[in-house]
Amino acid sequence: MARSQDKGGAVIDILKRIIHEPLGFLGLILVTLIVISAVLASVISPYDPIALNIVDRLQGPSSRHLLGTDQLGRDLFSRVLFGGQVALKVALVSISVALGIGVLLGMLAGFGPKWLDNIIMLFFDTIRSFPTVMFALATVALVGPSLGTVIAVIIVTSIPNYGRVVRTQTLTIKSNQFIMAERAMGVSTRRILFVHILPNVIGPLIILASMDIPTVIALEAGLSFLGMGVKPPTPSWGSILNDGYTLIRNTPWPIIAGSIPLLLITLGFTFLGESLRDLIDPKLRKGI
Amino acid sequence: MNTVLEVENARVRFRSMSSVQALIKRETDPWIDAVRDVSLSIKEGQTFTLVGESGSGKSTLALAVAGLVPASEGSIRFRGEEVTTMNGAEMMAYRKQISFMWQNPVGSLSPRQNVGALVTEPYVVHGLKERNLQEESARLLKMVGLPEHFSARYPHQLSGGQARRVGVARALALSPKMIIADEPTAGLDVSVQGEILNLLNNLQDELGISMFVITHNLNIVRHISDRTAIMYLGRFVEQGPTDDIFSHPRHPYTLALLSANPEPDPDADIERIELKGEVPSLMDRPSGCEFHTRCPFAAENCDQKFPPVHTVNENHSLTCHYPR
Amino acid sequence: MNENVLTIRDLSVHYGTDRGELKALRHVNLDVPKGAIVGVVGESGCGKSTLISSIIRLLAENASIPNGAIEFKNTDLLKLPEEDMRAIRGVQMSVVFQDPMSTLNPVLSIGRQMTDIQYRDKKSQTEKNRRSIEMLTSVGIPDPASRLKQFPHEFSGGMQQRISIAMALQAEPSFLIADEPTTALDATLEVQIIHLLKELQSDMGCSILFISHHLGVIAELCDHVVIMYAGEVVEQGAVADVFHRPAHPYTERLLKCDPASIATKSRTLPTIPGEIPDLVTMPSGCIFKNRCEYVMTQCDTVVPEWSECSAGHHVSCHRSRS
Repeated sequence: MARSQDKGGAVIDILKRIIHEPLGFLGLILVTLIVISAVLASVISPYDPIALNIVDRLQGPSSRHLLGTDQLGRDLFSRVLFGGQVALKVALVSISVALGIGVLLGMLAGFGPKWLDNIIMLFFDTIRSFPTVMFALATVALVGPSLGTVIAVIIVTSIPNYGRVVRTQTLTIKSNQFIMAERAMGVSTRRILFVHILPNVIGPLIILASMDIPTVIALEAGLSFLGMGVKPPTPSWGSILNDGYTLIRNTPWPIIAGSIPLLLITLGFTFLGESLRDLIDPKLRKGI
Repeated sequence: MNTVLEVENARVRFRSMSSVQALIKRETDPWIDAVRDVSLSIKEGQTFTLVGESGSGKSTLALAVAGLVPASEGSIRFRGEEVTTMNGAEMMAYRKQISFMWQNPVGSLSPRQNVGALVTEPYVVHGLKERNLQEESARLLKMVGLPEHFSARYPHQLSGGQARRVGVARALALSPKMIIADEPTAGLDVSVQGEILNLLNNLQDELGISMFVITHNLNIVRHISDRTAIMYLGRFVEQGPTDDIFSHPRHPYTLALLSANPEPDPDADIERIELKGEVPSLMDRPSGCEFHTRCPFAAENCDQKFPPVHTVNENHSLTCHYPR
Repeated sequence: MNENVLTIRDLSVHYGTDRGELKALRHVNLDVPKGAIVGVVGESGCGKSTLISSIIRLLAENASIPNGAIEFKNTDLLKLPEEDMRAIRGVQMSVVFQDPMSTLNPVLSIGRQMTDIQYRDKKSQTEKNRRSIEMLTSVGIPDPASRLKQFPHEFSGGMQQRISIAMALQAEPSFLIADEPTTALDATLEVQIIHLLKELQSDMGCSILFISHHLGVIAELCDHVVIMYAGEVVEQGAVADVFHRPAHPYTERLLKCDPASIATKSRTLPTIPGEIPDLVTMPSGCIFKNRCEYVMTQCDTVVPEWSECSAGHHVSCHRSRS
């Protein structure tokens, strides 16, 4: 019972406990490293990621180019750093927007009248019935490839994931006596949703979202690899991989440079998300 | 003394099946009456207690009084104003004058709000933000006998008795005219029960609040209440001054309830009126007197005719063919 | 000693928590004589549930038993291998819980559940069915043969509790633990269940450990009563002795508090001021000293001994010795 009561204390408490779990600690370090290097990309990268230098093309790693250069002589290390910026931007923007809309729709479906629930669930089921990649390819084919399109596609396809979880949680909470108590006091539906239901559903969602980050990053990389995502010359891990794929007979370095950060960030967020989940909800660990 | 609440022939119905189902099953009456032909009145500063077993419609009646479920027939007047026809704004004003104490002391508190936020929420909701919420929270907690530092606690950090006190503080926030208390001692230990009842009694004496108490715990009724009604299958079978009901119960069901109460005395020789069987379903009300299926004194016409209202005196009445 | 079905001696149970050892039970002594109904009274947090879990040996993972013995028919249950313990549970010893709806499986019919628990018997299905019907009849369920096909939700709360009792008694155990079996029921049904338990007990001759916080129920049903407070048994004796001549100040206050024992109308009911001490940072001396009206100097430092204050009436209080 004698737990730290202010919310800042709770965050520090959770961080302390993550550090004591080996995998959680590893995840935290990986994620922190990647986030810092992406945020500080313009400071720490030795070269302009889109500056051409044909003379130095297709070099292996050296002290001048840590990961070598690509077919246009661009420094791969710098491109990887800036690619991280793109990946994180896509992940953060799309997941937070999807989370916001998903939470809102989920709460409305769970708390609102039956007909509204039916409409929202129909919308969710329709989206979920498309395979994500096919849906993305179709959309890109229609409106053309861009960072915005990728973000929009990810937002639309992730809304149902969050929405459904929120709806189920809201339905459970709705039948609790405290909701009746609030209604009897004259509390508005909006206040019930945002003050009394939201804080009770948001915890598991944050964990869900943190475990979705690597999936989204991989999806962005995949679309960019197919040339359907970020437009060149903007660096993206996916386009670096695509370049490497065409150059595989000449040099392995672009492929290595593009896949290492993808691997690390996936591992990092997965470890972090799993240990967060175990900490916040120990019941899930043993469960099905 | 002024009458605060007046209920006349109130009826609350719920659908037992959807209209489509009813059509398929050729059911002409797809409704069940949770509360039927109930009349009562509560005077200022008085406590009215509603006693009955689970499923008898006690809580439904309370919700109807608070306007949380609609009454399909009859009238519910609060200080002369009809509750059943109130619009949104009137209902909001009405909600400021009544407050609830809920059955589950911890479960009726929003789990992610601390005690300070919980007890001052009524002010926020009813647009009284100009008040100093911290001072109000301290004042309310003091009234219910909790130290000020409790305002930082969360519901799960409270014991049943403490959570109950927070519930009382919340109910008192807007200085209501009437408090509806649904099982105010449910889930509390015997020693804590007394504390809460004393608190309610004191507050009532000080503030002159009317109380509408719902309970199945007969032991507490005679210490807190002025008038008592006994409910069975959504109807009042007996209603009168608490002292009369306890000293001279007239309806067989009241008799049975009172005698069913085990006494904490191993040598007590209780003359018990045992009831046969179980409470019938609301969907399938017995004919005639609805209590005849369990009544130990049922006679021939009990299953035929609905019993008349028998008046003991102007305050005390019951519905039975053969009052004791 | 042989007259007791269950003898608990000096039992302590601790739980490991973030804040340290929570001493949920401390030096508990308890006797259940053969064929007797023993009531256990105590308020929330007094260790009633820990007591039950230790008897049936289904304690939580973070529990430890630093000392004590639980002798069931002269064998120490705490030393028994798990396999032997399983053979005792449900056969020689069974439990009726507070909430029948959560002990019955909602998706299986009553008949199926009642034959399932006879898995140990090498009997035919029809014989098992007959046994189920016999049990349902004995707990007063009308028309048992046809009700076997029904599911738990088709029964009312009182009927469900009768079915749980029937299931607990199916193997004719010599010892039944009833954990607040009437708390979830209404007053008129509560009386029915109490009478049922009393009848079954005299028919089958089993012993019952009846946990309740309802003093009236204990007075009516039990032969002996055990009073628990904050993890200790503070008093034990015949119901008449304890209720009429309570030797421990806590028992005395508890009996006074019960609104049922206050015959005259009173706007101010008696209470027990103060709170249960923290069981992690235990106070020295007597556990009840902070709420006791007779507190003396030695209460602050010396733990009172468990002693007999009159024949068969035990108490742990300094007052009884001086």
